[in-house]
Amino acid sequence: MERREDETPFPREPWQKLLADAADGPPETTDARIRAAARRDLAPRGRRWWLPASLAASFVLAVMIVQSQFGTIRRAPMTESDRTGGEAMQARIIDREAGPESREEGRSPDVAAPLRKAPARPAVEPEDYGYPEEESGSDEAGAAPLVSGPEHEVRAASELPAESAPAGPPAAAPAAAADGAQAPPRPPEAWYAEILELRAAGRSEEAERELERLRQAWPGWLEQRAENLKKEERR
Amino acid sequence: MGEGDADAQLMLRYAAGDARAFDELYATYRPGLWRFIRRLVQDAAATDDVFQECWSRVIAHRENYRPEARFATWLYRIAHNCCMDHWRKSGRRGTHETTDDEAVAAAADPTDTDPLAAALDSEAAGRLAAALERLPDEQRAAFLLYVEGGLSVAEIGVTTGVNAETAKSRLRYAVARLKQALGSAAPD
Repeated sequence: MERREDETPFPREPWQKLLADAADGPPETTDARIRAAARRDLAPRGRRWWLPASLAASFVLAVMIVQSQFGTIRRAPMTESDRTGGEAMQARIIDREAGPESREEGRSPDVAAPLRKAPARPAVEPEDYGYPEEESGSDEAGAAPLVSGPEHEVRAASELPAESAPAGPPAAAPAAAADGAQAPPRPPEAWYAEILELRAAGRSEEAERELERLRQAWPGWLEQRAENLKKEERR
Repeated sequence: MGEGDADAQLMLRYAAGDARAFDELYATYRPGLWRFIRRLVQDAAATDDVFQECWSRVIAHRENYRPEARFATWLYRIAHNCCMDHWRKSGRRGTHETTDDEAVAAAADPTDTDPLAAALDSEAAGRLAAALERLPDEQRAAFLLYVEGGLSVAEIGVTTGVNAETAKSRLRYAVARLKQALGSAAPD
C-alpha cells in the first residue's frame, strides 16, 4: 500500500488535462527538423566504414609498394658495368701500390689498362665468396700461388727481382702463372736475353716462338721495355 | 528493467537504424516533452531550442542507450539536463535556490497573488500555468516529471539526482501550492 502511494501519490490525469489545454506543441518546422536530423544521423552509417576501410587499403598499398621497391633493390643482379668497375678499381689499387714509375707518361688510362689487367678470372657471383677449386688445389700442391685477387698480385710483384719490377707490370705475373701450368715463368729479362742469343745464333724461328711465349707469359712487358728504351734514348 | 518497455524497444530499433521507430517515439513523447520543457524553462523562445537540443542528444546518444530503465526516465533525464544547462547559460537560478519550506511559506503568504482573484480572471489551465511559473524550479520539475513524464517518485529522484524521499517531498509541496492557487478548480 505504502509502495503504491510512492508510485502514484495523486492521480495524474486531471492535472494532465489542465496542462494539455494550456500548452501548445512545437512548431511544425521543429518537428520536421528533428525528424530530418534523426534520419540524417542514420544515413551516414552506411558510409562510416568506408573511411577506415579506405585508409587501411591505402596503408596496405603503401606497404606493398615499399616492400616491392626494397625487394627489387635487394635482388638486383650485378651488371657488367659493376664487374668492370670492380676490376678497374682493383687495377687502380695495383697501380698505386706499384708506384709512380710503373705508370706511363702520356698514356691514357684506357691504353694502360691492358698492362694492369688482372688475369682472366671467372666471374664470381656476389654470393660466392670462395676461390675456384683449381686455385685452391694448386696452393695445396705447393705450386706457385695462383693469384687471382689484388693481394696476391701485389705479393707476386714484390717477389720479383728488383730490376724487373719497374719493367714488368706486377699484374703480368699472375697471367704468366696462370698460363704456364707446370713451371713458374722465367724472369723476362733473362728470357729476353736468351731470345736475343737465339736470334744472334740464327735460330730465328725458335727465337720467334720464345718471343711469343714471353709475350704470353708477361703480357705488356715487351711494350713496356720498348717504352723504357725510348725514354732512355730521349735522355 | 526497461527490457519489457515498448518504447525502449523502439529506441533500440532506432539505434539499429530504423528511422520509423524514431518517428513513433517522437510522436508519443512530443507533446508531453514540449509542455514539460516549456513549463520548466518558462521562456517561450528558449523552449524550442531546449526541445531541439533534447532530441539532438537522444539522436546522438542512441548507440549508448541501454534499456536499464524505462525510456521515459532516460528521455526526461536528458530533458531535465537540457533545462539545467539552459539555466546555467542564461544565468537564471533565482527560484532554483529556494528551499521547499520557503516555497510553501511563500505560497501561504497572504501578500502573494490572490489565487481566487487569478482564478476569476482566467481559465483553470491558465491559472495552473501561472501557478506553475511561481513554483521553485525543483518543485516544478518534480511536478512536471510526474504529470507530463509519467515518472514515478523513484524515477523523479533518479532523473533530478536526489533520493526518493526528497523527490516525494518536492512533489507534495508542489501539489499543495498548485491546489492552493487553483482553489476550487483544483483537481482532487
